[in-house]
Amino acid sequence: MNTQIENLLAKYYDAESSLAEEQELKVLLRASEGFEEEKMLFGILADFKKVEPSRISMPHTKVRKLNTSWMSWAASAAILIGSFWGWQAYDQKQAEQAAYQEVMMAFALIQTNLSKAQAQLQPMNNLKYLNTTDQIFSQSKK
Amino acid sequence: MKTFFEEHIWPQRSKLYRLAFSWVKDRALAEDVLHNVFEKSFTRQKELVVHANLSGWLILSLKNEVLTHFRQNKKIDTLEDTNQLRADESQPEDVTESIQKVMSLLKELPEKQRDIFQLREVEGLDYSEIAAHLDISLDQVKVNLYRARKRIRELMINQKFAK
Repeated sequence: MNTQIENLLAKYYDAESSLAEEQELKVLLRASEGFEEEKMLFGILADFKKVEPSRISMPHTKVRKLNTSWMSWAASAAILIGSFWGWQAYDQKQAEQAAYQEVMMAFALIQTNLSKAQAQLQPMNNLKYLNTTDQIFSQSKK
Repeated sequence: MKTFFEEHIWPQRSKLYRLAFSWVKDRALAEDVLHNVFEKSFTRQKELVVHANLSGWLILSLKNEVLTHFRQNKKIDTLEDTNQLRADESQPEDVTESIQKVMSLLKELPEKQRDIFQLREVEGLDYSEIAAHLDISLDQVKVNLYRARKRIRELMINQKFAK
């Protein structure tokens, strides 16, 4: 076993050993007598590997906290503006509707009066016959 | 669904923390500089998604953060100078004897050897991973690791690091 350890130590000090060989060396050293310096070296290095940070914490994304106090005011203003705009639109629609009705009523009145006038003019239609007679007589005179 | 940070950066915290700790030799300060690097990388996730060497970027950022801190406070220019900073100061109470020995050992190595040695011996990275982490060639990794281990062997024989 000691020969194996010495071979591995020689490679170790020449910086030619692999990680697996260094691991094997440490295992063999634990089970062997002697090699106190190397045992101490690997022991204190193993202790050093156990040193861990104790109070470091992972950084976090800074979350922007929204200021909600102005949001209620903004919501109130939006409701007021929306209501006013809606009321105006409704009012305009109503005015247009009323104007349309008035125009239609005017047209209906005109239509009624035109019909009356047309009925009153009906007797005048007979005058064409009188005119026709005149034309006949005047032709015969020629 | 996990973010890029959660999936690729956060899992590296232990390794980065130990690197920073070995540089600054102060647990609280190591966490502070690592926290700053995490904050920066968190805000630059989109840029880092397409980065060719994320681990290398993180280590370099950590080094820069440490240097910035020391330049502002202690007027030093390189990480190797941090060894001098703690030379006259007593070790903090929460550092065990083992950790003190590791620190004494690492202190004897030049910066590059120290990083390579730590990434290999503590973090268990292979040569190509170390090369990528430190943005150096594979040969440089092997040569520096060889020198680091040789130096450590000398220290162990002389029992210098145990004092």
